[in-house]
Amino acid sequence: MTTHALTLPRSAAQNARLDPAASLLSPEVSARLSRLTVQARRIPSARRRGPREQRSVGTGSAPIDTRAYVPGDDPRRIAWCAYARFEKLLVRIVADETPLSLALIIDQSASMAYGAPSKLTQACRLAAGFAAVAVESEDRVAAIATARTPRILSRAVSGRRGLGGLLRAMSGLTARGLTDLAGAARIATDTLGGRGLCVVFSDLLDPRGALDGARALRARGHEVVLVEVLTPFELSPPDLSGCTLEDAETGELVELPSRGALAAYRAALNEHRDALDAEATRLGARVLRVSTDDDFDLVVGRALRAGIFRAGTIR
Amino acid sequence: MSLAALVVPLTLLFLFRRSRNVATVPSTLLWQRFAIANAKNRRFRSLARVLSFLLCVSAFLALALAAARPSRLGDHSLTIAIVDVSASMGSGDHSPLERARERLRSDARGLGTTARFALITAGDTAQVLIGPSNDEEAITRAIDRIEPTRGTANLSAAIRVARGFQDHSTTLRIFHDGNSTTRGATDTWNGEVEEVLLARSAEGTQRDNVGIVAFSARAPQDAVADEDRAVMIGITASGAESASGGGSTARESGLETRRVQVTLEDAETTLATREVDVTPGALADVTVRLQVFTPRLTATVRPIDGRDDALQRDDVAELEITETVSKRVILAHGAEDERRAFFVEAALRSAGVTELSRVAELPVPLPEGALAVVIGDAPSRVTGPVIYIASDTGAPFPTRDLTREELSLRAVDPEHALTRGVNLDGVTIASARALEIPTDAPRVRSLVELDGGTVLATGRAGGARFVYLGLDPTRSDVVLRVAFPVLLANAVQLLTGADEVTSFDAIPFDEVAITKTPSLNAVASQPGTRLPVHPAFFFAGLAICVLVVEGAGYGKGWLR
Repeated sequence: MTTHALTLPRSAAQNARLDPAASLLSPEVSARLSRLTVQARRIPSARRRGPREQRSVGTGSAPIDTRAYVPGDDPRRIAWCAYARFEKLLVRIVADETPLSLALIIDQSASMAYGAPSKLTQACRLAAGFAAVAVESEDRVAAIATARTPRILSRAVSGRRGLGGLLRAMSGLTARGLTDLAGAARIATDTLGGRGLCVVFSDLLDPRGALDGARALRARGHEVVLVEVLTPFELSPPDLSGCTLEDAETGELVELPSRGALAAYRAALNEHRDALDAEATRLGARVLRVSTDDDFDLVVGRALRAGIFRAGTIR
Repeated sequence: MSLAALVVPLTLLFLFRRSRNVATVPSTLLWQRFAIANAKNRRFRSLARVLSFLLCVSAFLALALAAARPSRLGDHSLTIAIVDVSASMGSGDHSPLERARERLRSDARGLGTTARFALITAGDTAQVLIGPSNDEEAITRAIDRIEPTRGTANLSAAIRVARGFQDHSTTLRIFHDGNSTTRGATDTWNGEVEEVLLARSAEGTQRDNVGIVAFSARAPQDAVADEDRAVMIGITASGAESASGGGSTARESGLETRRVQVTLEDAETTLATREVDVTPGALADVTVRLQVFTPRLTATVRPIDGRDDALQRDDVAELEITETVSKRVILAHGAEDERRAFFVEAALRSAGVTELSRVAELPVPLPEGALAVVIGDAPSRVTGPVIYIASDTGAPFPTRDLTREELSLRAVDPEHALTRGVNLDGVTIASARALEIPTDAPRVRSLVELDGGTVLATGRAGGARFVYLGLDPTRSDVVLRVAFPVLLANAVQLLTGADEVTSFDAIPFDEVAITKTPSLNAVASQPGTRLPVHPAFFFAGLAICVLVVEGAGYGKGWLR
């Protein structure tokens, strides 16, 4: 038996550990992200939370506007000074100060070590971006790494100080072992305390079911965003017909037919993605697809189009 | 071996076929959907490939074995059956021989695929009916050819023949009715021996037997004419011994005597009828004096006491007599051979020689028409026919004294005119001198052999016909037997071509006087398993099956 190294972007061993010198979040990127907010569709409280001003009656204390009183409004919100001045019943509009709970679940399995930069690096960069956006929106962010035994990288934090600790925790990740998204979903639920937005960064090639974690999260009422991170090799591999492939995680060996492997793989990838999209739609989850060589701005643009991010605040 | 040498290139070919590029990828989830095979891990795949390789090698070896066309597989044991075909084996309605056939057929059916079977009959001589074989049909045909003879069972000769077939896993199985002793004979067999004693269907009555054991015609001492003959008929009977009395004689057991009627006939008329009492185990003589020349005599015995007669073939004996032409015999011997000469002269006269002269040295040349009989040392050259008896110097070929261990009777050629009617069973020989016949003497024939060599031979040497008898008449009981005068008579007739021939056909004494008590069979045949096909086809089929399994496993991906 002979082993031939394929022309992969970078070997798994080289990418197993994040380069500590590489910054997950540059100041320029962080500055651009400060104008974004994370959009949660299914969580009512998340639609009117934090300093983002909404024309609705919130539960905070800082008034941002007034509107005419309608039966049913809390009488305590009636602006009596304005009534004295304009002789009209007006109700104060205040910002909703309930923060959004955001859980960043990062797949740390061995398969994430591939690519240049590695899928794990790209996932951590994206997670750092999500965390930065959330912190700027005064949301609370937690991070969970999922490997054979999922573990909490950072409990829910807020503010720039908390963001620093979260980035340090993510920079020490090493790709190894198997994926347990379902286990990570349980930990995320425990960490968040209530319902929140869970963003899963993974290649979604977990043989036990890429959507197990998403199902578990949805079952507990969380909103789910799936960020699929793949390498260019996985998106457009060379023709490996006649080769034997070994799974980096499980060690399983598959023997490919002597020809037609490339076309079959493309069909399988499309089928896999279609099934993923269909299941995500059924679960109400959103899917963001990222390649390891994608620029961050490109990813942000896709996230904006997918409604995961929202630019600016609603006035 | 040449096929086995192909294992090396086959292995290389196998390894080449199974050599594939191996690449590590992040996940094989998508690749598995169209993969032709998968394995749990490298170790599992290595195990599967080793199994696949072993299957291929096994299939190849099976094909090589099939190509070798093996005829034997598994149990290669050889069973040699020696069947006593003496006269007593044919006694009764359901004779011991018929029982032996049934047992042999059962054994043949129970042969395994590769077990072999050989069949030898022990009559006066040993005869191989079938050599080691696994062919059930051929064995059955051989069994069907077993027939009782009118002689005794020469088990020693049969065992000697069996030794020629013996290998490391040979079992000797002797079928007999207990009337022929195997003691001593089987001592020479250095393997496993099973004796199958065949009981007669009904003890007692079926073992009652009377028969003729001796039948001779001699010119009496007081003959007044050439046609005068004293015809002697020897009759004996067995007894209904008890089961525990196998070793005792009938007389000791107090058995009843048998009353029989003896009839002597020629080709046309009854010449004489006698009634005699026969004591079981003893010999009763009936002597009839004839004064007419009859070339062929038939003696018949019939029990008239109302009891059974187990064996029918011993009730009739025949004797052929040619016209007597008196020949002159010159008996030459030294002074020290006087005792030997006495027995020889008596035997010659019993054989019908009337003109006999004793000399110290043979006349040279020998008178016309005379027959020389030389006892002991002989002249270097004899110009006429001669009988050498225990000769050393002057014998036609070198001789040598046999040791005690070499004196057992090994083989007798009963078909030759010289040995016709000569029964040497149980003969005691204390001293003998063997004739060492050179291999380039094709005109010399060995007729009686002891373990040490030939003691009776005939042929031509130095332009003269001769008969050589290496037995010492004074150190063997052969001179007390009927066989000795018969042998000398045959020799005289053979060398001179015109003497009286006393050729009789009768059942030996032991076969008529059934003295042994048979016991029930103690050996059960062990049926084997028989493959439905020839081993070669079996191996070929096995190889094909293995290849199909390996191919299916490879196709399904289990063995990749």
